[in-house]
Amino acid sequence: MHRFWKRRFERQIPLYDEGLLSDSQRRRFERELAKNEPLADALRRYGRLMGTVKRLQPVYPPRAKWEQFLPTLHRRIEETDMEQPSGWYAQLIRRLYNRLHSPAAPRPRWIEKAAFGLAGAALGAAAAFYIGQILPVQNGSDAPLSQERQIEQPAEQTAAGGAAFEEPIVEDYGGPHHLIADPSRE
Amino acid sequence: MKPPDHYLVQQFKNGDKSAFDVLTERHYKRIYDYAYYQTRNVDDSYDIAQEVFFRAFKSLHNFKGNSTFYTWIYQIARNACVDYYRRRSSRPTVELTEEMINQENISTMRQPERRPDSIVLGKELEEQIRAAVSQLPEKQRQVFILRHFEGLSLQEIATVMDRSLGTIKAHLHHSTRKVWKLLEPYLSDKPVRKGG
Repeated sequence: MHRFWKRRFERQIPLYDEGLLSDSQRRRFERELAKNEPLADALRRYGRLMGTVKRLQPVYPPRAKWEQFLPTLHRRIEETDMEQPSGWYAQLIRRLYNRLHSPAAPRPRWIEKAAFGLAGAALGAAAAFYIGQILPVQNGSDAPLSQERQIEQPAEQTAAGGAAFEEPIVEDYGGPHHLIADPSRE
Repeated sequence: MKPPDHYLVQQFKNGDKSAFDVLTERHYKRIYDYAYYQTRNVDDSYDIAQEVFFRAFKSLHNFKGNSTFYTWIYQIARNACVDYYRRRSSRPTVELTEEMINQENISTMRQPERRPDSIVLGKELEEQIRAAVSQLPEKQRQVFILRHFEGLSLQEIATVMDRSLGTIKAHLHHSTRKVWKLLEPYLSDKPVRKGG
């Protein structure tokens, strides 16, 4: 038999053992099995291995420790209950946290983490851009736009009136909030 | 007659804390087994099993019953094992690749001049199986353990791992094939060649 076909049938042994082959694949495999002694031998070896795998037993802790499993768990639960605040609001927060953070929920995969990080960065950049647009700061000047307007507004008004056009603007603590007439003009 | 798990869960939700003790006694051995096959360490497995039931106690009120209790507890155990491996991520690990398992001589797995027949049922083969399983990539290892050691059905494994049935089948196929490739020399009737 060509080596390609030999390897292909050998690769199907775990699938055949698990019953994962389709009907047509299974029939082809069994036809091959009937006439191919090395394949039958490989299937026997696989069966021996899986038999050994299923007989494997874990190593257990000493009996005394093993029997203390439940009392140890009780102690830990009681200690945690004593540590936590017992008010109704604390219980509510704890319940909400447990509802949102299920211990059985699958851990995020790296791609999910990466996607979440990228989305967060994009959102942050968009927020920064938007805030930059609405904040009253222009051209790198330290003076807020709203204050500049406050400066210009009285000057225009006085210019239109024609009377107090030359009156200086006195700034106090970085922004004009009142106008004082020049005493020398009086 | 033993009360079923879902009945005990309901009892717990109604305020009967002793129902959780019954659930724990019923399932902690299998969770310990699962953790042991993952970690191969008695103390770590015991601690993981404790952590699993502690988390389960804290969250059982929110268990909706969409799956069986024991698949839910396996989900917590899987996460606890993932956390365990993340904590120990500094430990150097070797992941098996196709090239590695196709190598003619895997020095750590083969003992030259040994008759396979003499060790097939021995402790050494068992240890080699555990070593081979522990070298599998994480997902494949979990599927292998849940299927072959814990005896869960493929559908149950898909629920535990939150993956499709097809993905689980693929993981199982790859993991089983890798383990088989690694251990085949021990099962062969021919003696293992020295030095490949």
